[in-house]
Amino acid sequence: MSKKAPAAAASLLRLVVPAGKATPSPPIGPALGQRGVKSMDFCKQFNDRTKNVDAGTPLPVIITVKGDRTFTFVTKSPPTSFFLKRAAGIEKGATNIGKDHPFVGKVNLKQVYEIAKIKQADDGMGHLSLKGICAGVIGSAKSMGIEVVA
Amino acid sequence: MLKSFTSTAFSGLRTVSQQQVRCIQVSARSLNVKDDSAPKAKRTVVSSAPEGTVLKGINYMKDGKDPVALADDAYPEWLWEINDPEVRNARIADPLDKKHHKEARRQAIKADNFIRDKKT
Repeated sequence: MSKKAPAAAASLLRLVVPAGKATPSPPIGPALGQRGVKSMDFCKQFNDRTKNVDAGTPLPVIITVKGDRTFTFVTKSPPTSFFLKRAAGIEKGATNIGKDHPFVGKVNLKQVYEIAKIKQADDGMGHLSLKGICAGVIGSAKSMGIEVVA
Repeated sequence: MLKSFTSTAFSGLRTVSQQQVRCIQVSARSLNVKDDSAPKAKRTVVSSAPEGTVLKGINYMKDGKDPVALADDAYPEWLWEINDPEVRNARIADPLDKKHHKEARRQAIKADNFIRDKKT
């Protein structure tokens, strides 16, 4: 989405890829192929960069494809919902939430704090206070039907 | 000139402008109305994860371990207030707080939308 020189127009692509396990055709192949990037190249680099991460952890990745079909990518921390589900020990978030529906899991404030610390390291969070990020994590928990206790 | 944000007479009016909210905050500060000199009440919240509990599910690196909970006092004070509805409601009730005006604005918009929906 950033246009530098008229010759090299860059396009951004946002995907969520399991760490160390790239290249399935459905998510990555067509998305990259449309922009003229060889998915094998991306997958090799991605798997290499994420080899220290627990296999299969979903990682959002932002791929910038330049006009000449070269690409760079940035990996971010896993989605907040991933952390919350693991911390609460549940597989899936709630189907329905609200006062008529029970919570499906529970996390405590110290877990929220640790999750927020991980999130704080991401590039996009530089302007947010840790308190603000914690509030965001709590908001995510509430929308998933996870109760936040002290 | 401060416009009333509860008025629905102006069809285009939806929000109190940021300038107006800022004016309120500045004048309150100059009056020095907020008094933080009173000693803060001792925290009554006790964490359900005492010191030494392993906080499961946080670590996602191969060579890392789940973090261990510290003592309650090691965490910042705001952490224990952030989930407290009383603290939040106190801020909303305080007319000098931005939250108060945001909530008032939100309710005014809801009321306005409700009236508009009824017509169609």
